[in-house]
Amino acid sequence: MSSTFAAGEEERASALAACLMTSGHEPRAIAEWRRRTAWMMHRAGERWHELVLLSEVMDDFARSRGPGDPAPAFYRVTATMTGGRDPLAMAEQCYTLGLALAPDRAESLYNLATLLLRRGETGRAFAAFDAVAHMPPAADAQAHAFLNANADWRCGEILEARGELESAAARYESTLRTVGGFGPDQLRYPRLLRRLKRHEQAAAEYERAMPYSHRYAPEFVLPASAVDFPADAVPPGKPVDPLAIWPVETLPDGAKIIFCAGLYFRLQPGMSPEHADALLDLASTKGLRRLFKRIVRCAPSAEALRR
Amino acid sequence: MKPFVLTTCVWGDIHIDAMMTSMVPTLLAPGNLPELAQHFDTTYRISTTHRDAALLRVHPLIVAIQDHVKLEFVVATDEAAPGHIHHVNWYHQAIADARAAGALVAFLPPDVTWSGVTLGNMGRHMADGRLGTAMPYVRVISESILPAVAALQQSTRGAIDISGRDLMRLAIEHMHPLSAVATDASRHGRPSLEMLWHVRGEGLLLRNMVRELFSFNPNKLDITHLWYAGRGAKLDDVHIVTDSDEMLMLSFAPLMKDVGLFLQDRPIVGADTARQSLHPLNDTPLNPYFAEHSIRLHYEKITLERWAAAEALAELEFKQAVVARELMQICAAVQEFGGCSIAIRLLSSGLLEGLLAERWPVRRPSTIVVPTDAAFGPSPPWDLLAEDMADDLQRWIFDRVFLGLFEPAKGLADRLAVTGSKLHSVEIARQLGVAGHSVVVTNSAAASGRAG
Repeated sequence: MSSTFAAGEEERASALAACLMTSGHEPRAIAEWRRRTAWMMHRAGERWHELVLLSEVMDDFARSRGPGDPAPAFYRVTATMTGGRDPLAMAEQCYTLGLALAPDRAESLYNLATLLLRRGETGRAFAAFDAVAHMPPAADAQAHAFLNANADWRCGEILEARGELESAAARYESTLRTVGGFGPDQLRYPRLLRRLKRHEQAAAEYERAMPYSHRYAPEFVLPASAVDFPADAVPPGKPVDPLAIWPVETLPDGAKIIFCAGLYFRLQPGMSPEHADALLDLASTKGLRRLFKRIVRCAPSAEALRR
Repeated sequence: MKPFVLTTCVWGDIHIDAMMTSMVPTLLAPGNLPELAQHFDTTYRISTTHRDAALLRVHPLIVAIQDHVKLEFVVATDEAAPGHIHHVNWYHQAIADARAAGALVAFLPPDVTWSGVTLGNMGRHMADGRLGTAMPYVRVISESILPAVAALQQSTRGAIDISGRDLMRLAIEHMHPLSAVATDASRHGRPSLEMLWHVRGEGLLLRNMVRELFSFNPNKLDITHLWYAGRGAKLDDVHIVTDSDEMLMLSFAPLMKDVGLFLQDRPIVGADTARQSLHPLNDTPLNPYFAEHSIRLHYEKITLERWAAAEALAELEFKQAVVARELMQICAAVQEFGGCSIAIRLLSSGLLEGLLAERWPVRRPSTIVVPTDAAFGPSPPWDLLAEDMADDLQRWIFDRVFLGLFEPAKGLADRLAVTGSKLHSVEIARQLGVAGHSVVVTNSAAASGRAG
């Protein structure tokens, strides 16, 4: 199975939507598919994103090894998971594709922004965090994600690095007003206040930073209803290429149900799942129509295709 | 012989596989279960599900265990996949039953590997009268360690006897990010009670604020919900292992476990472990005692000069942790009293900027004077927070720290602070005992030559 991320994810997303329309689904169903698939892209991105973080931890550990120390098994384990793909690039592409399907998905934009920071693209990251600070999170976001507040804090960090200290302080203050305790990171704020010579306020903030609190990484705090890859289609817990094709089952008449990019496809008997890979080669509408004659139907659930 | 109950709570294919591939084979090393069974009337109690009990009963290694100890299955549920709370409850039930039987207890998690002398050495300390033992462990990646241990078992077809050093070498190879993130090399952190320092080519130095007990006497030692030594525990009650040659355990975790807990771009510092240690579930009377111990986890013979450098760094950082813990307790106690916010803020600032650890009287009972807000008059010394006033802030604080506990009859008038200053016109409003120190709240406390 293979996939490539061509330029123009919006075009790809629209073409996949066209598959549904050709299959006879109404706009409301398509909108629901877009919502589901955007979450699946986010979920796929999050799995790769976790590997980015773990790789950073283990890279630091590996650099401190002594001569003759065994190479960390972490790299062997993750090589099997990643298949040679770069977790950061995969995560970035997943979030980008998800945003093409659902531009108002604050969670995906926040996560993408953290990756942009890793690439050193501070300007783009700031713009993204600033947008997220004012976007509504998912309706059933978990309370401890504090997505807007975390985005505000990130803006504050970038502003502070730029030397815009008063603006940074305002962002930190806004965050702490919302979240109360912010874990060890909270110390940034009184330190900045000292630099701004707001000594009395700094002292109060040092006192606030004394007790235990925890800052959860919102990147990894999913809304309660975030759609995950179906267990019958994709192995749980491991990084996944969301545009890979996953066989689901073979029906009694020889037709195959496959899963790709949040949609289930029913392929006519005799047709290999690899043929459906051509869905990803969206060179022209003519090509898509020719391809689609070979596909009976596609749907957001396997159940609909078993009938 | 004194009764001893070893207890495991386990269910599900993943944990049963880990148990039978790794934990039980290393348990059967001659220096572990067989050695312990020579000195104690030992029972191995497995709490599990119906299904898994049936599988385990007929496993050759479980049968082999009965050559050494009595075996007892507690089938605690008919559910195939009980909720996590069962794990905690089953262990506490095992403790209660052992207590009733006058037995000692040790926890044997299913997803671990022991060094070949761990239980034997643990038993020696319990036989010598210790009320508990605390052992170091390292988190390793279950996806990679299990095949490695399975390969060892294939050559022995039964017990696996690994030395502490070989086990530590395996730990370095299969290190899990959850442990790696607690090392001095890491740019990231996580909520942690421990910190680790690399000693290149030889191992890791471990310091921690507290550790769960591996074994304990439930009739003589109070155990907290998370199996720490609890109320009433005294310093010599618990043997703390300080060398992995003596005891070592590797604890398995799936690679992607708990990623959401990591703190990005925020390496662990002493104050963080102090806060963590004050969480109600982690706060125990022996925390300061644990914090004193340097624990060497090594896979080579120790070169003292290399370890001395790491130990010096660790001592500096953990002094910060211990001081932070004491001061956080003092500030919390004074906050309850109320009316001392200015002093608390100055103390907090000094602590969190690392200004206090070097001179703080660690393990020396002292008197800490805390002025009320009224004592400062109309001009609290907020300028002490200026970036170029760090020395002055430090001096202000230590002008109010006196070695020795407070004696009301003698007061403070003739005592010198650690800076050599004296306090003028000390009017005592309240006296508290906190973290082994006397905390004296005063309505007026100008130090010689200074206002406030």
